[in-house]
Amino acid sequence: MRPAVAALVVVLGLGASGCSGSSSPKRAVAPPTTAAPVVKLSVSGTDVIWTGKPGSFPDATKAGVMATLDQWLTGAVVTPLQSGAAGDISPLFSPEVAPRLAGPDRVALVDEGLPRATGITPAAQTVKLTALIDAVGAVALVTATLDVRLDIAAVGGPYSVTHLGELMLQQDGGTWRIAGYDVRSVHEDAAGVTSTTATTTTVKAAGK
Amino acid sequence: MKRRRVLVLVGVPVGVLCLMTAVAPLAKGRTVIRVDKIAATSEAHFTGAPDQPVFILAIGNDGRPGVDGARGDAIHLIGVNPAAGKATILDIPRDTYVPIPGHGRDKINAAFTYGGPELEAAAVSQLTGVPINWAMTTNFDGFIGMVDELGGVDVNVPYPMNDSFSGAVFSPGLQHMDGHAALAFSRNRHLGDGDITRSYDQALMILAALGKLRTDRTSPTKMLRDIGVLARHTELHGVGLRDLYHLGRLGLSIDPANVRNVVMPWTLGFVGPASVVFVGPGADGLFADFRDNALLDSH
Repeated sequence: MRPAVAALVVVLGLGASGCSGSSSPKRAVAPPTTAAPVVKLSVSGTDVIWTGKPGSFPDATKAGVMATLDQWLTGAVVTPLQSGAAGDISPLFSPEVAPRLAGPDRVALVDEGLPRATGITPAAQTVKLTALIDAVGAVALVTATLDVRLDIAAVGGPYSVTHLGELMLQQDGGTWRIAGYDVRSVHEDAAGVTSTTATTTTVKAAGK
Repeated sequence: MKRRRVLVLVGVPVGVLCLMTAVAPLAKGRTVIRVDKIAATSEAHFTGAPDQPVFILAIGNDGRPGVDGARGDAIHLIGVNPAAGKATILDIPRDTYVPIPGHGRDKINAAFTYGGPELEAAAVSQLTGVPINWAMTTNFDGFIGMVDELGGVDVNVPYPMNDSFSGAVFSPGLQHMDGHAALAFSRNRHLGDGDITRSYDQALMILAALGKLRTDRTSPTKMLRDIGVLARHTELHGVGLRDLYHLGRLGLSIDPANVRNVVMPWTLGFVGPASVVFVGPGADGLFADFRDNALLDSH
C-alpha cells in the first residue's frame, strides 16, 4: 500500500503543480497545502516632495495607497502562485494603463505560469512611499518602491520570486490606482533550467 | 496682470527600459539561471492619445526684480511624436511681428506683457496653426534655481562667447553650467543674427536639460523629484502634475539626437524705428509640416 500511496501523491502533486510531465520526481513529496501564509506589505519609509505649499502625507492617504498595493500583491503574485492564475486585477490600474496588462508588461507584474506554491515565505515585503504634494498641499501622486522577495516551496523544488522597482499611483474616483511602473520581476530556481519563454524583445532569457 | 519672467522651459522627463538577464555560474558546478523576465517602464505615452503628437509651449520671461512688464522672450514650441520617438523644437524669435489677439500687431513677446503665457500661447497658436493646450514659463530666478537644483547642465557651446552684457563667456565645446552660467548663455544675443541665434541657443539649453535628465536614472520616484523641481520654479498653464508626469515620461523617452531644433523662417525689418522679425518665406509650409505630426518631414 505504501508505494501506491506514494504514487498517488506524486500524481496529485504533478497535477496540482500544473507541470506537464517534465521529469518524474524520484521521491514522494508532500501534497500541496491550501493554506498559505498571508503576505502583506509594510511601509519601510516615507518621503514628501513639495511643489508649492508644504503639505503632509496623511495616514488616510497612505492607507489608501497601501490597500491598492496589498491587493496587487495578493491578486497578481500570491494568488497566481497558489492557484496558477490571477484574477481580474485590472481595476487596480488606471484606465490608461490597465490595457497593458494584456501585453508584454504582464509578466513583470503578474506571477503566472510558475510551479504551484505549496508554501510561501516572505524574505522581504516592504515598500517605501514617496508623495508628490501639489500647490495646495494635497497629495497628487505617490510612488511605491518595492522590495518583495518570496521564497516558494513547490513540488518540483523551491524557487524564489522577487519584485523590485517602483509603482506610481494616482487617485481616480477616490481609489488609488497604479498608473505607471518601472518594475523588475525575477524568478530564480536551481540548476538545470535553461530558458524561459518571452513574448517581446524586452524579455530576454538565457540558460544552458 | 501677473509679472513673470521666463527664460527657458527645461524640457522634462523620460522613460526607460532596462532588462537584464543574468546567467550566474556558481561554484561547484552549479548553475543558477536567473531570468529577469522583464523590466519595463510603462506609459511613455500621453493619456488618451499615445499616437497623437503632443505640443507644449515653453516660455522664458525676462522677469526679475526691479523690472516691470515682463516679456516672454524665449519662445519655444515643443512638439513630440510619441509613435516616432522624435520631437521638434520650433524656435520663435521674440521680435517676431505678428497679430496678437485683442491687441493688434506687435512683437510676439509683448503678448506676455498684455496677457501672460495664455495670451502668448494664443499668439503662437495663431501664428503656427498648432493648438496649444499646455504652456510653462519661468523667470530669471526660476531658471537659475531650476538648473541649480538639477545639478547644472552640460551644454555643447557651438561658438566662442564673450558677452559682457549677459555675462556669457564660454569656449566652444561641452561646458558644465550652473544656473547663472546657463542664464548668461541663454541671454546672450550679441552673436551673428542676434536674437535669431539666441533663440536657437536657448533650444540647445533645453536639449542639454533633456540630456541631463536622461543621464540620471529615470524611475517614477526620480520623475516625481524632477517634477518637484520644475513645479517649484515654473508656472504651469493647463498642465497638472499628473500631466507633467506623463509628459515627463514621454519627454525622457526621446533621445536628444532625435530632436530637431529649428528656428522659424524669418527676415529682418523695421516697423517705424523698431527693428522686428517678419515671418519669412516658407514659414507657412514649415508650420503645416510641423503641426500635422510634430515633425518636419519635408523640411
